[in-house]
Amino acid sequence: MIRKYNYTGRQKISQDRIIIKQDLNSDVKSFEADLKLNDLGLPDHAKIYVEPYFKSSFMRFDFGTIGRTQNPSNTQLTDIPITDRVLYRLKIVDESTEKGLILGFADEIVANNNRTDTNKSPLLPVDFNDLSNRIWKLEFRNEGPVLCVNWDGKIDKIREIVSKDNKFLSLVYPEVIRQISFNVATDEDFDFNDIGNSWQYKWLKYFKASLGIMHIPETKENKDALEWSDDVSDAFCKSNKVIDLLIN
Amino acid sequence: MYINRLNADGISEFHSQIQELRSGTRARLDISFLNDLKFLSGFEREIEIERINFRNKLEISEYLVNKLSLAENKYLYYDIGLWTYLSVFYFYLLCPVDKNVKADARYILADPKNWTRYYRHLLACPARLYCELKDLSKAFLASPIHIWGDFHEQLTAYQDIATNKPLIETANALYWDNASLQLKKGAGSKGAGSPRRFSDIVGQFELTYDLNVMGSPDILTLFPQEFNKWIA
Repeated sequence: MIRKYNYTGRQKISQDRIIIKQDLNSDVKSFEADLKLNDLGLPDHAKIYVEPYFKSSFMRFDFGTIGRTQNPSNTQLTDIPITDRVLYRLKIVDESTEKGLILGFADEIVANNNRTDTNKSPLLPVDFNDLSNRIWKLEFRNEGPVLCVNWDGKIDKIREIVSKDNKFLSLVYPEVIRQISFNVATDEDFDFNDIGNSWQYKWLKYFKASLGIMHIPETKENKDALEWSDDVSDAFCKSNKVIDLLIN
Repeated sequence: MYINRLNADGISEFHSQIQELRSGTRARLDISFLNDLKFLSGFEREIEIERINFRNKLEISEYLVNKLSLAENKYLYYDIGLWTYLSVFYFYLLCPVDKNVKADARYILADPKNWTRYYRHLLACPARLYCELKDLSKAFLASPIHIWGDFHEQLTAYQDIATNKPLIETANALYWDNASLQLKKGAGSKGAGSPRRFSDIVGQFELTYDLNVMGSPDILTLFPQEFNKWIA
């Protein structure tokens, strides 16, 4: 277990205290934050900043102080790329006595429009990004694998295609499953015997329970991982009858 | 020549030509397509630009920021057609004839709100840094336009570092030599006290301090001993 030290008494702010609503209808997304922070025992003068981010893109908005919270007049996400999965970070900062010291912090906040019960969060989230000329790609983010699909500005009705079109499922998902299982098989930090909360474990559980994959690769070498990931992908195709889905 | 924007066909033509340069089937970029209306989508103002032998990123950034009045027109930061047009026009500086053609992202601005790609563009990123940071951007912009060293890579790869004024002031205090107006010798290295360590350590500081609101002298006091060698 990695031990984390917190010498400065920084408070971890519960996400229940932060309600972020994204406006999804306009061309440039914007957001509002409803913050319940005034009973945390933090000084009234402490400043509040909300920082939306996606990968290495980042913005920063001044939300006033603990004593007087206010939404900025403009919260357009002009510097954040096209994505359904913007995350937010909240900082409460002492700018007076201990200049710059973070008094309270919350990270990886999801806008309430996009928030789902942790137990019901999808095994494979889908994000719509600008992928230039590509239709889809698989990304391995901190949260695990994410299926990235080119956005509806490029491909009309793509959201409907991804959610309902059997041809998309039959052509794309077998390769998605192969890439995910290959990544699981070659991940040096993942132990197949571990039971935990990692995304790798969740996928392994799916491979066993839903696809009947009871064996694991003999080693983490590429050749064994390739063979195993082909087996997993083939089991997915069999289980989902992908050939029938394509031709019918 | 007046500033313009490349349209999708113009960007495609540029892309084809740089592929040919890479493969050796073309000796030099033919920029005559910048005069062909079928490759252009127009620009709202008449701004004349010249082919000048700018010595470094600072000179060309200052020139373009002024020509475009970029501080008053920040929406142009994200203009794919404009920055790709300028890449063609100044390609002799972005890719001198004796140098290898670099990755497409160095010349063609794609997905401009995605900082991971944006920061790699050899004109758009330096111009934006100059526009936002003014004199503080000097360490980023001191080298010739086509050169992208480890210093630039480490300090511009993350938008929250590259646009944090006190932090960039701190990086300047460590790595910039005000006497020679160059990066200090060894600032491009990868060991103890290097810009690579700087960006790693800043990630740790950010768990405790909001570096956007601190002064550079206060930030400097946080750095461990391995950085002392840079402080005169």
